[in-house]
Amino acid sequence: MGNVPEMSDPMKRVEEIFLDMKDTSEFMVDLAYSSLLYNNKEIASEVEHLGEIVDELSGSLQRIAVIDIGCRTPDAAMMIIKMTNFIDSIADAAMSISDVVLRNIEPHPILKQVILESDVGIYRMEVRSSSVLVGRSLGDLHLATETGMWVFAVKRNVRWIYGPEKKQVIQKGDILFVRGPEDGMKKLRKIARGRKKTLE
Amino acid sequence: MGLFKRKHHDRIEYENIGVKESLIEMKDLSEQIVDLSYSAILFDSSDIARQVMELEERLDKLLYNVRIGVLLAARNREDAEQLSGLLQVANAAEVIGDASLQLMRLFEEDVEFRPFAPFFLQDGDEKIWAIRVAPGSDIINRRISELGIESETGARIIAIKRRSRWIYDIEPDRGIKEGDVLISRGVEDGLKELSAYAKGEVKWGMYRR
Repeated sequence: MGNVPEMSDPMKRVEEIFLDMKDTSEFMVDLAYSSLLYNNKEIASEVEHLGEIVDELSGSLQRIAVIDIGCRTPDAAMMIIKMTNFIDSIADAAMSISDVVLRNIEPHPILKQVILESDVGIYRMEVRSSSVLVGRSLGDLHLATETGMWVFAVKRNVRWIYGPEKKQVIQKGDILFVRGPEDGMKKLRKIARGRKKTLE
Repeated sequence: MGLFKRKHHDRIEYENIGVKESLIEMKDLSEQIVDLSYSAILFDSSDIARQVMELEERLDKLLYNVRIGVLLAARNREDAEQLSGLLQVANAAEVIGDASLQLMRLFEEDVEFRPFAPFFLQDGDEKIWAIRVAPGSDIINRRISELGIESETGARIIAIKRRSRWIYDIEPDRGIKEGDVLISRGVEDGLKELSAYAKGEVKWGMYRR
């Protein structure tokens, strides 16, 4: 970073857009697998919607790379464009996974097993009223460090909260969509069911 | 140079490991390859880039397996329609592999990207850190599964650098040795916890509160 202070401004924008793209693309993959796991068209449509957002971000990023950065440091611009292409492909892959669900054909049962048996699993769990999670915010709970599980979506009644923010407060009846290792899932499930009263 | 020269026209051997097993491996590899690609750039490591290339070749091979397995399994139109979804998912994993390989080509073009690579990757929701295991740490000589590192800290080990060697198959029974560099992915708080354990600053389980 230190060697190129004169272009800090466009670089700052690049950084922001890039991180937004990176997080969104990874989130799309999680959502795509869960749409497949639960044969859920709503989630699959959200993946498509996010794909459009990634496309737009990718366009702005490449434009900044060419116009504001390429004239002075072509290598930096090249790097940005390559990274953008990489993320675009991940987003495309996510869309082609969720597309399976949008075809009005029940996904092959093997697919569910594949998602459940892989290293990083995708799970959903309901938060019971007796759970210690109720009334606390995600930022306050630190579920990732306490259980290894990452909450990437919440279903509340008929509403979906995709990519919940730290200030999001968990309510009873929420259905959490989480990603992580199996032992972490088991621990979190007990907590969500109210069987385990502490996070540790 | 020549790092990414591909062996063209090699006949891919069909490996009878089943469509389901192939797909599970493909899903795991497609996730691992993304983490490794970011790590290669972040740590400017052509060793990691080479591993990305190997994983990509494995993905190619597994895709071939899935294709053959699926074609053999279809008996009628309904079968074929449902099975085509398997091909689509397998293909998606391979697309991610290809994209990773393309990104790794940065290592063979003389692109001077080093001054700004880290900032790209160090501010997202999840970050990648290189954590060295210091002599006093009590995670030394214990297995990843026994420690339950991911569920304990939320940080996931992507790869281990052991002396001059790299270990990429991070199986649960893999033990941790003194001096290992753990390439780990996770939220910052989790990485800080793992780092404190690895440095021997706190006893294992300290953050369980």
